[in-house]
Amino acid sequence: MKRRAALSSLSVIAGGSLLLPPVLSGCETADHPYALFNRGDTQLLNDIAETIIPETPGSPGAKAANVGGFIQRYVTNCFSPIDQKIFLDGFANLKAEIDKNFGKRFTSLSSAEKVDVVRGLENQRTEHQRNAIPGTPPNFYHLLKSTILFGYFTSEQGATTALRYVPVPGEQKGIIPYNGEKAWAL
Amino acid sequence: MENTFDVIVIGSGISGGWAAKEFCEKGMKTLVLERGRDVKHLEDYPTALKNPWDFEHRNQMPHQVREANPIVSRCYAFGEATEHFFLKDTEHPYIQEKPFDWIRGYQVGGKSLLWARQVQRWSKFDFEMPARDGFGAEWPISYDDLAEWYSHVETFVGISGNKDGLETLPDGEFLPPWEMNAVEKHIQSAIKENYKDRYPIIGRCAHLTEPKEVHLEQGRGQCQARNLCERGCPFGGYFSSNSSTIPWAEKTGNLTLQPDSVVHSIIYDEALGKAKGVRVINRLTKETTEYFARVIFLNASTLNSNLILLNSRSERFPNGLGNDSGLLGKYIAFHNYRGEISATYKGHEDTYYFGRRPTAVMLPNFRNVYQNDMPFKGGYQIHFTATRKSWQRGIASDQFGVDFKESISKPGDWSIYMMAQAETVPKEKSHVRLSTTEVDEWGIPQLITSVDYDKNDELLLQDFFKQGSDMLEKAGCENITTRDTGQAPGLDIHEMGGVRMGPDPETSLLNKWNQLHACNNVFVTDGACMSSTGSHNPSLTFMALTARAANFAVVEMKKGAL
Repeated sequence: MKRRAALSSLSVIAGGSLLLPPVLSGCETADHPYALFNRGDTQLLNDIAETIIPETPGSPGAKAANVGGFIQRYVTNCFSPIDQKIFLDGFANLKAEIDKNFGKRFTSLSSAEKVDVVRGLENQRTEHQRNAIPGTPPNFYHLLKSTILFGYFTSEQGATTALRYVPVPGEQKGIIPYNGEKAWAL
Repeated sequence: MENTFDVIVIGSGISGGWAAKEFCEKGMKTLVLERGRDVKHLEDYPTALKNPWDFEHRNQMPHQVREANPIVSRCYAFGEATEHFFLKDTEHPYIQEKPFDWIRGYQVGGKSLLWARQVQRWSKFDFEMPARDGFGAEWPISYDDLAEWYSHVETFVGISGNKDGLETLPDGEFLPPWEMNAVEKHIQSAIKENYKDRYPIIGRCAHLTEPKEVHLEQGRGQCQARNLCERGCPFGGYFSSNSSTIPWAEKTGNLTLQPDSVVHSIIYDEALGKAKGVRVINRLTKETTEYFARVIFLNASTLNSNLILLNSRSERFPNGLGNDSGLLGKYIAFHNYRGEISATYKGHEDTYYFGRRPTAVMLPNFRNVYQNDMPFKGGYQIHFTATRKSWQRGIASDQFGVDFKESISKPGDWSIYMMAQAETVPKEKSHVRLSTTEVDEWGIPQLITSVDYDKNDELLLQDFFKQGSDMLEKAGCENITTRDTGQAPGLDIHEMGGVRMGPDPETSLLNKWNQLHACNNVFVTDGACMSSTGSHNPSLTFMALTARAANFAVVEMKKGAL
């Protein structure tokens, strides 16, 4: 009876105007839809994101979730002007550093070199935070990593493969045994 | 006569919906005026079934929107999934003499679509304490006057809860309760063992854990534990005017629901010595129309009900309808939500939980209950939850790569979040009034808010920090950290008062039936009527007061006394 009532509510919706709209990812396929970024930035951001959140068995990585596209949209629309400047300056610096140190683009680096670059960014952040007093603006990589993790774990790929996504639990249990499974997505 | 009804209800939110239901059921032709647009249950919940990745910014608001609307942007529930149910700051400006975050939902259903749905009965102590301890007006009613109306409302709304047998938080008509997790149970036991006067319980909330016939009849089904409530529930799992009282009233054939109707004022008939109707400005066309009725229920939300009365000026009432005492708009209070405590807990890592529970663990007020033995007035209710940390802990980590991803994909250690919902003292100087220079888009004076914290709030906050920390420490929690959010009054969305009830017309505006002392066919039964704030969630009390007053009005109307 309970289930039937629930299903009938759903069918009202399915018959009405609430069917899901087309997925919004279409605009990300354009080469550089955001004026603050350049052609090629999607690939670069995806490659950095993939180094942080790589593909693992049964779970695509950040690149497959197009986190690089999401970062550009999020930085453009949702960042405050202060964070946006930190991000864009840091991003430009990073590109210049890679060019200086390797003479090629991040994408063409070996896996070990990519890890070195990201390790360097982690170290810079640690250094930045060691010296930070309250009110110190965030470090570029901190913003980048936050947005990568947010973008990935709220993407369809991340939420449904790296985590367990149960849109309609149907019930709640206070205590269930835990044996190393993935976390719930929400 | 055209535009004439038995009853006019101003506002379709949580209390207005109840007025509509009660009057329509009793055969009264009822006009409900709503200033916002219509929102139909199921049909007008465009985001209800969306996944996180279906939102352009994953439910975060663009910077420009936040910049243009700083007030509403501070509300926890405001996001891409819900923004269509929130009023933007610019759409109805007001003047903050002191900072006040006025969070508003202008649509059919009002904030009942958006509320946090926690419904604890007030205890006799909530009603008696202000007069007993000399920090507020005497309530003209007691818990006993309201008990049967609590039951009346609870049965229809559908409330999950456990019968806990507490004097400080009376039991009600409950559906099965939600469950605590292992760490919450542990903290609950530790608090009970260490403190004779403290009994944490699972929160009581307006969710159908097991719908009964009366709920299925409303077309509502079981709560699916999605906890995406503020989008509107496709299952009717929680109570809102839209899912419950308004369609119920509509079924009687006695309801006329009129959206886009901004009430300018209540019209006072000097010859009859009572109100005869309301003056309405169409939200879109700005055209003015008058509607008439024998009885008027004002349920426009706390501050807007104050605004409407203040703007209802006549020869008899030059300072606002019913304002003989000069206290209209004064004694505005709220709940102090500034206190937060976080902590961690080691242990129970072999347990997890399933489903998203729409409530928290609650510790009913334990301060000043039997006498004023604290250096402050009033009490506070504590809410807490324990959850296992999510992927977000990965942001601060200095790791990355395969092992990092796999590690943060699993639940982390337990973390505890605790907050206080504290009573504030209603003060004459905490008030709202009309601007004499600024008007809104409809030519109605803008509201000035002048509401602030005081020393009592600081003392109480410090007590919570100490007691909350001690309780968590006794439960074996670590990394206990207190935080004063510093938020402005209003963001609690529990503003109350301004048209307070009381036995004495000299010191109050409304009598024990929520009638204006000086104009008895006008009733105010939303948050504006509250003589004090108590420390437990107020919406259930608004609903019970409304049902009680409406049934009283029906009897009086049938007698010809109204």
